[in-house]
Amino acid sequence: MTVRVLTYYPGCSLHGMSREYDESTRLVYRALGIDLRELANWTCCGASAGHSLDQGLAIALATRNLELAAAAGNELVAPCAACYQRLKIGEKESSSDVTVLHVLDVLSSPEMLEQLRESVQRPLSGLKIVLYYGCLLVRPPEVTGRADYEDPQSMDQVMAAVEADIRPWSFKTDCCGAGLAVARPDVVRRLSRHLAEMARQAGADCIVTACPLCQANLDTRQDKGGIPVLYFTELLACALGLEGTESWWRRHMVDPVPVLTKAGVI
Amino acid sequence: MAGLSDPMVTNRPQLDRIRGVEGLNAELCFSCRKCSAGCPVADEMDLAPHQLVRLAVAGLEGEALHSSGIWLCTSCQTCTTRCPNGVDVAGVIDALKQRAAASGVKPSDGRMLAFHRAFLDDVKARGRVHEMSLTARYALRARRVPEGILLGIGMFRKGKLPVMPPKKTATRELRRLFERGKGK
Repeated sequence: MTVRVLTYYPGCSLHGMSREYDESTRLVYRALGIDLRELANWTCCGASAGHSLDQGLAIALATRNLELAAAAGNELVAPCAACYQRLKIGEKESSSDVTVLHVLDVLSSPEMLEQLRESVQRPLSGLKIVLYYGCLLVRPPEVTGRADYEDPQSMDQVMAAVEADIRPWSFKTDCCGAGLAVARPDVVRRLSRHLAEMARQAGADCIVTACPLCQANLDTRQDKGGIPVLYFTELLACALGLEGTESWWRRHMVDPVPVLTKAGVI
Repeated sequence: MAGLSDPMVTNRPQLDRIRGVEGLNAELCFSCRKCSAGCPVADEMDLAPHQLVRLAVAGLEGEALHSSGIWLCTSCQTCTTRCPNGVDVAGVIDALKQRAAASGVKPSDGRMLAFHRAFLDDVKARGRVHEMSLTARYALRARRVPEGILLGIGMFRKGKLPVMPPKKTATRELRRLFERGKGK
């Protein structure tokens, strides 16, 4: 298998509260023949605080990382939807030759989907899931370049490739309010609990995300007996039969082990 | 919207106009209210997104700067994405937040402003955000015990929150970026 090398921008959350997303992304990519090289000296993209307070600073914080990335290659992969969108804006606002990609973009190419289908060890057919893309992976389309921003498909394609039982629902891109999580938990609780309730009504065993902020926000606002919220890369690692998944589950607030065991995923 | 015509508020000479700012297209708004219809937090705002845009178009930014609604915006970009006239509604709200923060307007609920400031403080000090430091900085800035402190303890016990901050990265370079941005 030829090894493809990509530059990786983990972002602050993946070195903090979302290490299982970092570990599962690296593990799955490695299994699929992609070597992720972490961008040396990367710094915070500025997130929503940057553009809320200072437009020039927000752009500068993003483009600084693109300049570093340009020296390392012409593609930069980000797993966090917020980092992805801010870096994408930096790409648009600067003359950078770097193309910013989300972790999903790489995995949803026709070749990678084919490779995923061929690599499945444990099909996820027993697991009923809804896919939650959130806001910044898809919006605004002028920045993300996505045509299917109201009903995105890339995570659907990836999870279908490992045979998950994908339930349709209408809340793929409704906001969970993560940006307000620390200062306005009252607002966030309303938004994220509604999403959890709608996922239940759609018949899902768990919610699957591709963003550390969405995951943390949905996972931490529920009462006992809530619905587990997983990263799509965690489930891919299970489907591909990879070793080293055990330590991830205990870092979830809503324990996913019963659901995953019942569905024959672990 | 009391005090709309208050000249002390509306005629602030130091306030940059939002109308005419390239890319925001505020003046193209024809008040269809689609932005507010799709907004996840419009119900909780004192001024909804379409009202904020109208104030900006009318040159009455001064009114909107005092709105607590601008600080509730989650930056989800639904309004910008769905606007039939290509108004960057979320961009207009960002512009209002930036102007409010720069001109020292104190929002009636200062929690989000305190959070954004604390976040950038942490970026400037470390290069990368450390969740525990950010929460401490927020508590100091907002002068309150964060509402989510119990949740934070729960997350800590799950091993989600690292105690040790990451190694400082490129802080000297970032300090320069922060200084350069000042006054913009």
